[in-house]
Amino acid sequence: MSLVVSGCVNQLTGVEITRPELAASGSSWNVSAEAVLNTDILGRDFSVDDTSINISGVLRERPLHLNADETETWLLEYLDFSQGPVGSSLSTSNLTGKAITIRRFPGEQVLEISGGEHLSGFGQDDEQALETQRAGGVFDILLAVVNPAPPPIEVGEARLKMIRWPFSAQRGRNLRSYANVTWSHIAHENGLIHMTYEGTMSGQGRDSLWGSEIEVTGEASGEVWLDEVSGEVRVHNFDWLRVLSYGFSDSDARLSQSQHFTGAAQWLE
Amino acid sequence: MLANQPQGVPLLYLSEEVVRRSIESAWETFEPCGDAALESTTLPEPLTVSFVIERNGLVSSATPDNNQENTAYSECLTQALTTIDFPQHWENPLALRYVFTMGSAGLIKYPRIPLPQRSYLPIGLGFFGLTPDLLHDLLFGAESSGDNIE
Repeated sequence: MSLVVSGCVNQLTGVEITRPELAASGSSWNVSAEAVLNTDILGRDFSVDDTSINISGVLRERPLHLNADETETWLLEYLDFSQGPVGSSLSTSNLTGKAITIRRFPGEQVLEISGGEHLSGFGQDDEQALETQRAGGVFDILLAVVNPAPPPIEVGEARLKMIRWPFSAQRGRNLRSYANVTWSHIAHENGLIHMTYEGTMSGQGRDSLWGSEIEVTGEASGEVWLDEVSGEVRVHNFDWLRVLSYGFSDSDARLSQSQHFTGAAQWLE
Repeated sequence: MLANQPQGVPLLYLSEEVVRRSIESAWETFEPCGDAALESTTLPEPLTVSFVIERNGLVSSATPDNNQENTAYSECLTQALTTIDFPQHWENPLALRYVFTMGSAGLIKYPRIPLPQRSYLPIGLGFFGLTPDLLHDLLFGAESSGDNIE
């Protein structure tokens, strides 16, 4: 099996580029997270406090293309996802069966996330049924959790490196979130590299459907254990606070939502 | 397991990426189309085609833009499209409508699914208790709740 670049020019000229070791790779993680959401609409005297959502499932990553610029495109599939309010039993999430793609250089930060429209919005069978709302737009952070790309540093060293995940859902709808964190290499333990990180969040976005500009602030901390040979994430425990502030071109109201995420990703295979 | 997935049938994914790859593959292997694209000097650039994928994965209609003049090119492109056997998309009970644009260098614009009006909250926002319509009324006022989001 080999990977074939499927870019348009290569299709017409018949050129193929292969990277067999990439085709043989791929990983799955068991992920679980809780989000506590606080929402305010400034100028409208409207707020919703402490809406808490649990989500869990398996994220499976498989290679799709080796692109002409040496970046890789990977398919991420949402398997067996369930979700529900904290304190209640979880039910099957409509994220199950969805898939998106990410592009990145080997072992590096996420450059692009495409297909986010499949993870957010409402089911088309009943657009107004609240239970059909997909949680992928809020839990886009899971895509960064399994792709943190820490820096290559020695035990005792610390270095600043960003975790980034530019989430997009169709043209004109995107949210670029960054965790500007300092990584510390704590120890080598049983073939694993143990690192911690801490820092702030930033970013911006826009949503042309709503005429909205979005600002991202917040904080992020966590710890990861990486395979010391492959560099892949084996365990990632995280505690992230993201605050989204929305301004609207046709309204004097501002919408603000704080999203406090805690959870873990555990490598399966 | 999805509620509308027949038992014993593997879960399949009809993501935008799958659709794009299927179109590119059909374009590559459909030789008359390739010849027309390479030999013509009057290619419409770009050519826009809309099509519908039924739940069973078959293309039920593929319609080139009538205003575009190179009919040989558009016809074989449409034929190439109808040769695609897409995966069945159990995740969606409805047929999916796509629009894509092809140029002489291949696919230059990815397919997209037109959005139902107000199916989406602002990107990144989680409400789990408020519909897009209600949020729109809160932000812009109930009297303006027409079709003016886009």
